[in-house]
Amino acid sequence: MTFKVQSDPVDRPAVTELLLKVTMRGVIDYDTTREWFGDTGIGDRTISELVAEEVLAQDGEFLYVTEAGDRRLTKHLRAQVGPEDEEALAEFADTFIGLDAELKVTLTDWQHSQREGDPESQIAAVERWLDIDRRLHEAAGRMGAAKHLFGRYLDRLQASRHATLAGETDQLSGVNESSYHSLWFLLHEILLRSLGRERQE
Amino acid sequence: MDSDLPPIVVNEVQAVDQDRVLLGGKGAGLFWMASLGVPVPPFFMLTTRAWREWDEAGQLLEPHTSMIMEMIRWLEQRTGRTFGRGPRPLLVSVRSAGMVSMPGMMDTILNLGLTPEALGALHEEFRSLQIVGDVITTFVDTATPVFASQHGGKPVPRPVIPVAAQDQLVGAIEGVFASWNNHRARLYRRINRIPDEHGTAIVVQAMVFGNADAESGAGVLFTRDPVTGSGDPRGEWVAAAQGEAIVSGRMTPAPVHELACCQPDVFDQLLRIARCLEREAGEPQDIEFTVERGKLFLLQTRALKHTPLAGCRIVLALLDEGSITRDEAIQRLSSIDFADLAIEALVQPPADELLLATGLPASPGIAHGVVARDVGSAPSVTSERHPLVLLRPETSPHDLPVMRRAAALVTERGGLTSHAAIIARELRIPCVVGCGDLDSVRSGGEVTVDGAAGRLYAGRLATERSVPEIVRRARSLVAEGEEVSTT
Repeated sequence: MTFKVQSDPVDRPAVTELLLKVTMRGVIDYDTTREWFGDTGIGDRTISELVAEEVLAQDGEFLYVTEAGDRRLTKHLRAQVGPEDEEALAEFADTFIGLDAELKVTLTDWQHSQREGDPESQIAAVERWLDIDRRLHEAAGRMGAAKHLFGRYLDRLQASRHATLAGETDQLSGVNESSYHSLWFLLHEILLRSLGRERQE
Repeated sequence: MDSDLPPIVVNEVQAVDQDRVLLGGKGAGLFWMASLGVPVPPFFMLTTRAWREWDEAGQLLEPHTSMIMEMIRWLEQRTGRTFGRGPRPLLVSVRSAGMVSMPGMMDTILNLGLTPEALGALHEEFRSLQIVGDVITTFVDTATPVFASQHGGKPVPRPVIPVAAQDQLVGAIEGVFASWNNHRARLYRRINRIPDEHGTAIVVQAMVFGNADAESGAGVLFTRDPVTGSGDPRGEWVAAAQGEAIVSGRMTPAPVHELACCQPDVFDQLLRIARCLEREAGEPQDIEFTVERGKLFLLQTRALKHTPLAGCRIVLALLDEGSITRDEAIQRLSSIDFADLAIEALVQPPADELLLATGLPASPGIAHGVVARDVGSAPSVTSERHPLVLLRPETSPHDLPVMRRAAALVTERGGLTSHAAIIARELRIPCVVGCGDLDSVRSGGEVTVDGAAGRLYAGRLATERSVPEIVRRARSLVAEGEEVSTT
């Protein structure tokens, strides 16, 4: 299939967003990509160029991110961090990594409490999770101007928190893209790439 | 007063519908047991209507307080004891009784009515500092948080527990009512979609003394084994102690069958009552009981929580015994996911040379598949027909799409709380983490993952999917029911 050519400027933040979305989805069909155009500012021409540059690969009607695309994504994420953001971001990342360990233990406890039908353990896990979430937002509040880099993920985390507390409990540790754990996992990855750090489980 | 309105305060001998909305699960269970002639300590209840009116007023008002004290006088007559004084002091428990159980989230006060005068009289009655000490400890431990919270969590000068028995009772009732709105209870209701407006009822019940002597004690009895569903009763028992001693961990309980050795008549009576309750309810029960000087009392009964496998066995046993109809059995079995009850196992222990790695067992199950180490995200890979075993140094969010399609996950690094472990448990696929260097395992080779043992084997090992006979029978019963409904 060929993409319809439209005029659109190559917009680095929008390309970053596209690469992130495709990466998280794994494989994306053209129609879904088209639905995103309104959000990202990306047009068919940009996608064709990204395919030509082997940043994206096209397989029939599907697109996916290549290894070169993955490197490009890291480069974009690193480039969006200005020198003025670096210190605040590093401080936030240090806090985040500590919270990450706590969150994983808490979500593990949550999963066991769900399976065992143990209300006391369930609520204890939820209380710990909410405390971690509160400390995350406190840390984000200290980021100052650098917060603009991750604000939208924090908003999405908040949305999944609200959904969980409204009884949609699969929004906590579920594997759907909008779950708290999936978003946290993504935020962690973006944070590490933005600072040029390696993941340590 | 409008006679159509539900009652505010009721006692066990008053005719009342066993309405869970009005009485809560615990209250309805007590009324039910009393109606069957089961020995329960005398009790009265404040209904959820009382909670609603308390909630609107912000405090207990007349005539509620007078009604409560009238009931206390009734309890005094029933028990031959006196509230807050001797010669035989009446102590009571004050417990919440919500329509939906919220264990550990709402307040309970035990041994309430312990005044200086009652203390002296108790010592006269039991002639034991140990018993009186236990009674005081339980009362102070359970009452202090309730009365402290009534000061808005601010530090208050000691003592916070009122000295007069009536003040203790009114304060405790207000405290238990207020605990419906404590942070944990609200949070629990939100995530479990329990309406806030249900409110809670309260049970005020005469305490019985499981710590009175060597022929006393407290325990729990499950009418069936909650793990296997077998018909043998299970439970725990601790001699010469109140039930709180077990809950708090102050004393280590013995198996409930030990009661049969020291008090066989009491144990037989307990089993007879348990069988009666199970037969009447049509489902196995979880019973709390106390023995005071050789006399048995049941404090609570509720439906037994059990595993799905136990659920199959229990429903079929109840059907065979004639306690439930075939349609009821089918209806109950329909809610069980039989797929979860099949057990996948290796046909024979693998040869040592097949073992590629050992790690931490993060999610149980056995699966085989083709190793994908560096998957990329090409549809030609992810839509392959044969199953994939995703093998990564550690997982990243980019692996999520492939993880969702994988038959099993294996990582070199990470622990039981790693992202990979969390995701595998959500997906219910086998997962082994922290295997160390797996460079020798190449993409494209076939492997078998044993998530419960934390092992990775070379090749496709033979497995067998065994379905317990009881599950086969349950499944075919449901299938027959479905056939009938479609013809």
